[in-house]
Amino acid sequence: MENRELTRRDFIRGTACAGMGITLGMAAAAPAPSSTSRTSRVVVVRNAGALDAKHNAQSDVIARMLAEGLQAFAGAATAAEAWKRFFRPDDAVAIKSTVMMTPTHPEVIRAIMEGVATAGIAGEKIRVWDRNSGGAGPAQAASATWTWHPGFDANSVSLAVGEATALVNVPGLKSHWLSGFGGALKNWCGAVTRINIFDKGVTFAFHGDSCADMGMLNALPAIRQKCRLIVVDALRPLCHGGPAVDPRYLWPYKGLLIGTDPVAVDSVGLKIIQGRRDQVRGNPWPLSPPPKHIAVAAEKYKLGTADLAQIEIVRLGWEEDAFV
Amino acid sequence: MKPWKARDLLPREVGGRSPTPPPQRFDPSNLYQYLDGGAAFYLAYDFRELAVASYPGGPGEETVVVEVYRMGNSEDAFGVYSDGAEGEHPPVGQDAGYGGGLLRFWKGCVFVRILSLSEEAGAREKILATGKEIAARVPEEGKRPRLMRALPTDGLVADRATYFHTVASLNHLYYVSDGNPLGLGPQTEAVFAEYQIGGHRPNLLLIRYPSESEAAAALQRFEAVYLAGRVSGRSESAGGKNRIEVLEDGLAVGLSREGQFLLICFEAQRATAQSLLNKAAELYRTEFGERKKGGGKP
Repeated sequence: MENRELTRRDFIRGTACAGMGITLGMAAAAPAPSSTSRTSRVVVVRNAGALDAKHNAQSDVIARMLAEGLQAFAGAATAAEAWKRFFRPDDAVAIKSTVMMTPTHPEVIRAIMEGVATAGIAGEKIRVWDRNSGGAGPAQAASATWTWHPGFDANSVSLAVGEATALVNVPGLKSHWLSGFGGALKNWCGAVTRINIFDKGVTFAFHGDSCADMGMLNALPAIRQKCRLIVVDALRPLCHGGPAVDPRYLWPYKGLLIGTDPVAVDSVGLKIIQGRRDQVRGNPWPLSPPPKHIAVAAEKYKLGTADLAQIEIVRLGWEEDAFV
Repeated sequence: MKPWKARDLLPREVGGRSPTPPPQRFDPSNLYQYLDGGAAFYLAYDFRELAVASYPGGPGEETVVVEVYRMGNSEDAFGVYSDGAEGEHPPVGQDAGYGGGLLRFWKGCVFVRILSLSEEAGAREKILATGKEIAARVPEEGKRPRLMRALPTDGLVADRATYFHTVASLNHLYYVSDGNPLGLGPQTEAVFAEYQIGGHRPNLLLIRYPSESEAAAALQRFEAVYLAGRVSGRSESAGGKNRIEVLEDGLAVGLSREGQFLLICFEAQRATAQSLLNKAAELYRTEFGERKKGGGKP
């Protein structure tokens, strides 16, 4: 898809983003049935016990979900073997979380840190951060404990990126007022500075046309080359509004999405969010604005696969209202 | 009236507990520090300042977060409220919505959010009492936007009429196009409303421009972008003012202009589009006609 001016009519005619299943609730083309080999894999792992009745995250359940999901994603015999396929003992790992409004659960970060450590990496070399704050090791998985302020380089990119040899992208799954959807591609907004919604005097101008060019951040060589793994926190996603929380639109999906292709991961996350929206209203309730940035990331920035027909979705665990 | 700030409206205590840490204040230059990625929603209105305070809960209780947004005028306080007003409407301020531990209300030029992620039985009462305490401190009531009166009421879905200004707000409510062919901005007033009529769910977009020439130019741009490839035609039955086009999904888009007022109906049956446009134009003439000129925005 070219980064050109689209209208609602393009969606009515099914000529815009149709493969991603973005249809604005109208009769656009559905993804073609799978007949060819798929280019990207995304694991959706869920467990009904991941949150308790008060929505508190259950650390042990989440650690098991992550291990099971990563093992399936890597096709490894054990979770430890799977972690070793992504990380080496000499790696310095930086985990990009999100702390704003619908934050990544610390229990997810802790499980990732403990998993990365099984690849032989010392705790102090496994960091987590968002914007200009972070911490090191499982004891600092929660943002309330953070004392590290990495700063930014001359190109406005976090030094957490520059100092790491490997990155893990851990967004929370959410709808978003300005971009339609927030997931793996959008999470890198918190890894750069000198940005504003007016795109004035900025290093990275991506807010126009509903953040269509968001993929430019994931396309930065340091991020694109170092990001080894994506784990989306879909324990309690937000399906409307966002990032400001209206709790009526949070729901206990109790899932994690695991992948390495940010576009594929976002396409699957988008299908989940859209499924929940339609369920809430009882009729099609399309995300608005349509998250064009996912298709632009695929076609302009060549960051991955947006077409759901070309994505292998591996479902594990709890199946009720999975939406994929 | 004595000058006041958003911070003046914050309760001293909630549930017998003072705010921890001390309340914070944000203005348009640093709102993103509190609402990273979400500041744009408020900046699309005439946002002036935000005061935020977190009140710790007692044992087993969640923290209560109070956000007081002071806007430049009451119409924009209503506008922020109107985006997401569905649900229960407890008697707080000039209108309020409550659900899932979140109270939203507006009064005068203030919009307030009170959030507790608790689903305990007492949380609702505590939140509503806090809201009433804040509302009582807002010095005076405000006006709803006059443009809301141009909405036909038959078939209007409850709580689904939103007042706004910018193209980002429109595309959040209802994606129309990239770019800004309608020329929306802080200078324009707009309302987007959902209807349920005869098994269909048409939508009505009303925009009031500062001048007739701007409205005419916007209509021309919109027709060129959205109805590209279609031969322009006006409906005889509506005195030549309405343009109704049935699109590829079998539903019509209808366009009309009344001076500085632009009306667009989406996803309607042809007859419904005609009817909604004509009714809205009539209501607009009643509200903003010659006899009533001189008041309201813009």
